[in-house]
Amino acid sequence: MKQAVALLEEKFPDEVVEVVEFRGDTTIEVKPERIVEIMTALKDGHDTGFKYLSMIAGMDYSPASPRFGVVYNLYSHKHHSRITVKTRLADDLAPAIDSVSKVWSTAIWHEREAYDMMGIRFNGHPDLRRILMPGDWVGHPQRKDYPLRGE
Amino acid sequence: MSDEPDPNHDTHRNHAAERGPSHPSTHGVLRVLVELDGELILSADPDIGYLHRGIEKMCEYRTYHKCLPLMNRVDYLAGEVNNFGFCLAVEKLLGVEVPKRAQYIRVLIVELTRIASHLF
Repeated sequence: MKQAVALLEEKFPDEVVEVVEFRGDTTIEVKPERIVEIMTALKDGHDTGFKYLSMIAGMDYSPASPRFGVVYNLYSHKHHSRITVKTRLADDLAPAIDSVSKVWSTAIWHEREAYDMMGIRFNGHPDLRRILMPGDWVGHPQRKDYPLRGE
Repeated sequence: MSDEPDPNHDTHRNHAAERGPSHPSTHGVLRVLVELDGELILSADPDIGYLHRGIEKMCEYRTYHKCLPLMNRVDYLAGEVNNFGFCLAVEKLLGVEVPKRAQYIRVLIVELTRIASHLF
């Protein structure tokens, strides 16, 4: 979506890392530090209006560094369009990013899943605990170095 | 799932009840830890992990074809709908378009399974 790219390039020129167009889908990679401001702008912008957060995915790009990333899929009912926002987290050992749960409350569950599966921490999250695995589980099963099955 | 009692609630007066989990073969297995004051629900903590089978992780180590049998188990009453979605994603990645005949067959099967899913 061109309006989203234009909005971010105008308001956050230093945050946009890369814009990728692939088979009609737009992906914007941004730096993680100002993610809440960026998402608020995308949600509230008149020409963007991404009121709906479809999903958040935690990513493990191991063995690359930065190893972890977070991907946000947004949808705009007003413009019938989608956009993907990606960000890579600097710390490979303790990946963390600010929570967007104040922008979209549905992020509360999505961020819990990314924490549960990938061990990514979301600063400012109101209830960051496991959502799929049992509360006393050790480790984060979707990390690439996590074994596929038991010994 | 925290088992710590909430200090804000009067645990002597209120009643904690387990709603579920139901048997794993039933669909939509959900456990809800509800806190009750008589018949009034003070809090409800849903536990949605009982049907989590790690399909995403399993798919990371399979070829596209070998992922297909997993996809229709996402919702076994309308399995082909999930196969359809997966196929569309793979075809988009590969940049291929299936023949018209296949497109028609897909729509027929997907609509039939949708009816099955809603009736039973």
